Amino acid sequence: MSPSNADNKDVLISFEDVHYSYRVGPNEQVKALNGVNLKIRRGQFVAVVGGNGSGKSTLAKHINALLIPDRGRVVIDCLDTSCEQNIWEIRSRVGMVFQNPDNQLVAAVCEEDVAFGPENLGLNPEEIRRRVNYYLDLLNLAEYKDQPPHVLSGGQKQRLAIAGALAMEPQCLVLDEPTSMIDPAGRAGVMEAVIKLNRRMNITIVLITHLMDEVVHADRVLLMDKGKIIIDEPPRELFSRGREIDKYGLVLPGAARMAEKLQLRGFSFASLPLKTAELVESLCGQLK
Amino acid sequence: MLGNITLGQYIAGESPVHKLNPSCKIIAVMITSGGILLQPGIQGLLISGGVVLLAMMFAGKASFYAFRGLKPLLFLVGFSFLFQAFSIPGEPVLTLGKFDITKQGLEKASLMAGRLLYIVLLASVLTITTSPIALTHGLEKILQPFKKIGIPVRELAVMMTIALRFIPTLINEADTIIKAQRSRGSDLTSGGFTKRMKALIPFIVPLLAGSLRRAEELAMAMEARCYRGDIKRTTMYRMTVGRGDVLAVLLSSIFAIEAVILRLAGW
Repeated sequence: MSPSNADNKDVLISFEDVHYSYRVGPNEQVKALNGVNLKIRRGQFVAVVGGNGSGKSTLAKHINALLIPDRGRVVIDCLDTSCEQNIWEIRSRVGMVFQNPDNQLVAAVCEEDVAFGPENLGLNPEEIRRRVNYYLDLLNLAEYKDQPPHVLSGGQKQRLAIAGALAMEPQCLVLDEPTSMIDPAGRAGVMEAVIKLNRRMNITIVLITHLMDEVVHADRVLLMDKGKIIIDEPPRELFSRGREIDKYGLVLPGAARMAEKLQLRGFSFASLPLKTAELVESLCGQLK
Repeated sequence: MLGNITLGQYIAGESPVHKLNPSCKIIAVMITSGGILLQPGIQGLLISGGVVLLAMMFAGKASFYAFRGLKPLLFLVGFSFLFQAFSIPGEPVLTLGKFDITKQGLEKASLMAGRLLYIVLLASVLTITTSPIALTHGLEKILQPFKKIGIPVRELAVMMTIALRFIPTLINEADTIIKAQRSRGSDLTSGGFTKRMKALIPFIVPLLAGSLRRAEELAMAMEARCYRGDIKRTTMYRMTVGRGDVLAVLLSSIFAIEAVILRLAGW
C-alpha cells in the first residue's frame, strides 16, 4: 500500500497534503485543513499552537481517525486512516485526551473508567486489572480508584483521562487543550505527567495548547493559521523571532517576558530563558 | 442547594453481605421475596421475619437505614391493613357501628402488611449494601441469557453506567444555571403556577442544550477509546462466586422451598 523504506519506520504520524472541510449547511462548507504536510517521528514531543479556527483540533482528530481527510492522506504507524479496517487499530495506537475533563469520563468509578479502553480492546480481566492499577499509580491517582470521578478536581480528572487513554498502551498521545479548563495547580500536575510520559516511556506527544509556558517543553512547535502549518521549528527558534510572533497572536512565555523586562534594568542573558528554571539559573549567576 | 443529593442509598461497608457477588445477591433477594410471598399463615410470617432479620444482621449496622425506606410505605400499608381488616367477612372481633373487624380479616391484613414490609426491607438491604454500579453489573450478568434473543444487554449496562456517571455532573450544572439565572433576577419560587412554569424555561433550555453538547463530546471520547458496542468487548470484573454467595442462594432457596412445601401441604 505505502512505499515503506527504512526512513518511514521511524515516522509515526504522517500527513500528506491533507484537506478537510466541515459541512455547516446544505451548500456551505468551512475549510478547516488546507493542505497540511507533516511528519512526526516516534518519541517526539510536538506542540501545536494557533488562533481559534486555525485547524488545530481538526488536525488532532485526524490523528485518531475521528475525522478522515477529504483529500490527501493520513498515515499512522504505516496504517492509512481512510481504510475502514484500520480504524480500531489506529485508535488503539493513538490515545486522545480532550479539553473538557467532564465530558470524556465514561464510568461512575475511576478504576472502571481506566478499564474502559482495555475492555473495548477485548483484553482478559487479569491484564485489564494490571493496566488499571499500573496507570492509576503512574498518574498518582491510586487512592481515588474506588471514587466516582465527580469528586476529583479538574486536574485530577484530566490525569484520569490520560490514564484511561494510556491503558490502551498507545504509542502516541494526542492532547487537545487539556489544561484550558483547569486551575493552574492542576495544570502543573497534568504537564508534569505529560513530560514524564514523553521522557521516560518514549510516548510520542502531540499537545495542542494556547499556553506558551507549555509550548517550551516541546521539541518542536507547529504554528497553524487558516488550516495550514506556517511555522514548524523548535520553541527556542520560534521565540527568538521577537516581535514577529505578535502577529500570529502568540506571546512570549512568562519567564522570557520577565527576562526582557530585566534586560531593560541592566541584566543580560546569553540566550532568552524560556523556562522558569532557566531564568532562575541565569539570574543566580548575576546576583551576588 | 442541590449538592447533597446522594445516589441510591448505598452505604459503603465491609459486612459479609456487602462482599457478596452482586448477581448472587440479587438472585437471593428475588428467591427470598418469592418465599416471603408464599409462606402461609402467621407462623410463615414469623419465619420470614426471622430470615429478613438474619439478612440484616449479616449486613451489619448499615442495614438499620433500611427502616428509613419504610416511612413512605407506612400510609399505604396502614390503609390497606384497615381496609382488609374491615372488609373480609368472618367471626367479628370488634364492632364499630355498622362495620366489623373480623378475625379472618385481621389475619389476612397482617399477612399482607407483614409481607410487604419484609420485601421492602429486604430490597433496601440490597440497595444499601450494593453500589449502583455493582447492581448494574449484577443485573447485566443475570440478563446475559437474553442476549440470545437480541436484547443488547451489554449496551444497556453501559447506558446505565453513563447515566449514573452524569447525574452528579448534571446536578452541578443545574445548580450553576439556577444561580446564574437568580443573579439576573429570575424567581423560581414565587408567583402563580403559569408564572413559575415560565420561569423554568430559561433554566431547562440551557440544561438540555448543555447535556446534548456533553453527549456529543462523550460519544467522540468513547469512539477515541475504541468503543464500538459489544464487539469483542470484555470486562475487568471476574465475578467470582465464593462460599458466601453459594450459602446465600442456598439458604434463600431452602426458605422458598420450605414455603412451597408448607403451602402444598395445605397449611
